[in-house]
Amino acid sequence: MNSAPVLSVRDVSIALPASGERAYAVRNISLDVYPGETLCIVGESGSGKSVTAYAVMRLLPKMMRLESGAIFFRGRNILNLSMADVRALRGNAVSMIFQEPMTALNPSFTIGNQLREMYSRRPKPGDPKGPPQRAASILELLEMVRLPDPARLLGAYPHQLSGGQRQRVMIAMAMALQPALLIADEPTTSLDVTTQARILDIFRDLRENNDTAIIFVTHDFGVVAEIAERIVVMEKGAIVETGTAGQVLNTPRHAYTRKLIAAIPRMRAEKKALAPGAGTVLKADGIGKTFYTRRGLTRRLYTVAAVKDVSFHLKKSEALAIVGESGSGKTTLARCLMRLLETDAGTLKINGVDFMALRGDSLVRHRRAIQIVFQDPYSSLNPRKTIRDTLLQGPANFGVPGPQALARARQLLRTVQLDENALNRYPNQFSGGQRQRICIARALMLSPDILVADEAVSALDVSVQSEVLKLLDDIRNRTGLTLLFVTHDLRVASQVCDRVLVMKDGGVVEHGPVSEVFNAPRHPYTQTLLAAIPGRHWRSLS
Amino acid sequence: MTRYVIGRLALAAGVMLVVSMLSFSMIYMAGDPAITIAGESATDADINAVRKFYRFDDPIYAQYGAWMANALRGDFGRSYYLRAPVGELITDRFPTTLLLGGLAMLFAMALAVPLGVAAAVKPNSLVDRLSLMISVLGQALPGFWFGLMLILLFSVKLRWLPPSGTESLKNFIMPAITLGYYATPAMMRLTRTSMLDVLASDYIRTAHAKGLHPAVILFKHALRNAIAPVVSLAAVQLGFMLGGSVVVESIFSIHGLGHLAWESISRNDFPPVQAIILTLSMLYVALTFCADVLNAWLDPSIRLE
Repeated sequence: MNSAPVLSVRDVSIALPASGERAYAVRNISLDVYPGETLCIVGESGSGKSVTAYAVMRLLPKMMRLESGAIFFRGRNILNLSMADVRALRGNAVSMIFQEPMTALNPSFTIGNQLREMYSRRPKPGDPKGPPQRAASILELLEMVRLPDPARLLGAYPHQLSGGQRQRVMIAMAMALQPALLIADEPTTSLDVTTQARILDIFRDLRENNDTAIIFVTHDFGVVAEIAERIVVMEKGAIVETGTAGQVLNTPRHAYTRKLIAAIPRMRAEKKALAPGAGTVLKADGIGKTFYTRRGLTRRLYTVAAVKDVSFHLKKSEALAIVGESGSGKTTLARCLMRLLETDAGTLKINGVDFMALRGDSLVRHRRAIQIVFQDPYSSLNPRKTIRDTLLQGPANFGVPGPQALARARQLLRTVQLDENALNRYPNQFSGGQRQRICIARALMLSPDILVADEAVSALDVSVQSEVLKLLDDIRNRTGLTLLFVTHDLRVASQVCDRVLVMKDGGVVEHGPVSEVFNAPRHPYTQTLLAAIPGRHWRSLS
Repeated sequence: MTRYVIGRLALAAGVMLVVSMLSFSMIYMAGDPAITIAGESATDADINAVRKFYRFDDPIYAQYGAWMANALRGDFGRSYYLRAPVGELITDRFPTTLLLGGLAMLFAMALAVPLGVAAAVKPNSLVDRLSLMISVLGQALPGFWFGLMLILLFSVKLRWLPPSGTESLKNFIMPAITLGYYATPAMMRLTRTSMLDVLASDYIRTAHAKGLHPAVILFKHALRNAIAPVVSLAAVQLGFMLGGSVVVESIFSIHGLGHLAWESISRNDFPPVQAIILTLSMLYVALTFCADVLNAWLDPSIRLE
């Protein structure tokens, strides 16, 4: 670091509205970013990492007030600038890209139109990028982010591009005027791993070929290990550790950093100790599901074969992971098995009963055997019902006497490590992790034979995620529960499951024991997926 | 897009067919039309003669078929009272109504969209409350009273505008304001809500991060996305304005379609009423069709399909 920092944040405190759970979003934080470096700001949700990024852009939501401190960009305090001066910096000297590429581009204008705006907005005398060179340099930008067929893309609208392609357009747009600082707020979080790996490649390119400093905000230490040169770790609005990538990743000093790194799910591909039971609980044969949708105002008929000819058997107390990227059909499959969706093909036997043939009352009776925990703990509990009501509703449906059900509810709350007085509280009084435990307790209330976890830990912070995973493992060891674990995260899958089924475009590409599939993947797609896991070269993870 | 337009056209034709059946069968809703036409002092023989003349004895589908076949050629029969071909009556009056409706819509748009945008830019501010007040007034003031007050102020007191008639465009100013003001509140509120949604969206944040001028963000990036529902509403409102200008046309003595419909209804003169309903609903369907197509064109994900 022989040059002066391009950005210096000094003692910045940002107040939250009075009703919030804490007074400050960030408190007295200071950090420096040097030209050409990639600085990662890591932290869990609520750590203040994104707020810091928005403060630099002067894009804080109105309810957040920057109370004290200074943010120097090339020696000028951004906080004292007029809005006109801030606008002159934005996109020009400091640019930003966001987490959700699907909605970050204006749906009504072409990619070309939105890229050209970067040049047309600020006519500067003697600007080397005058109109004649513009078209060429826009094409160069699109080539830089490795978008196919750039010339054709200029005329395309955002809805014609995938999420990964849109994020590339956002990067191209942010780099258009060669800013001194690029802020990326969780730019790969909502993308599939393989797409994420390609976007991270682009960030590495940027670092090598430009002098642009990058602030990369993320919750994922795997991603950090891939691209960071320096790391800032934040917890509850404060910076707890700063250092070079090697130092923070390999010899973390602060307890919180160590806890975060310890909580990252590792690839665990050794043989599991637990031996599956004798009986087969679930037999799925040739399950198929095709969606027919009429889209747009033309009501044109589209058919999507979401699940194609999927077969597998589950023995008692086995844990099977169904992995795949978005659109692979894994969630549709889970919903078909639950009969939340009706299948078009195949047979499903649960405990020897033909589950697909059940109708009316007999279906309701047999639903007890297979229960589900959904991805989003925030929307899957009825906000107007107490936890007691939520837990007792299922057993009441099956005629379990009240006192008996209540006793089981108490016992299950202890199992999921919640206090008994949770019974009288409402979902909004719990954190995301606690809610997911409640959802697990709710699913277990009916003593199911099979528990389906549909991305059940994906929305949780890593530290909470590892606790929930451990909980599921414990319950399985103790009760012999059969687990069907749907996830996009191979590391998580390897943590809890004995067998894995890899799905792509609705079909199964590989199926076998975790130790075989992850140690010696046969299908190229599985190999791609494994290679895309961020941070796989980092020795703490491997 | 072409398929979309064809689909919409087919739908519009279907709607028109149903409307034509309904408006045709209206003639039987107020009792035996022959008795009505023949008058109070008519004998049974007179009524039978009328029945024979107008072919009321034919089966209803035959009557409808004949009426429809004529209507498609532009012949809507003759007014019982005015003794004139209905088609002529309508082509006479229609331009007046269309001019009034068009001007009223222009006024409503010119007032509602800027007010809605201004309110959305600073929600809950003085500007927001002021535009709310202006628009609520539009809904609260009865058209006949508001129209009369305008006449009182601008014609009687200030003598700036003529109080009635259709001689010049000046005659249409007050009627257009009276008719348009009533449509303003819904459009203003919709513009405001729609703009608020759009202004809170991710791509507006992107536009800010790009350092674009606030005016560019507001009018290029936001309004383009917010205007689609307003366009749909405006089309429906224009339909209402054309059909619902009866009161306004009476106050300002404008002899348009609304006025004719009102006169004909009070005289049990069915052919003009049937024809007006058919014409207005055709217009209504045409307007909705245009709004759909315009909306589709505004939204690239539909336009390019």
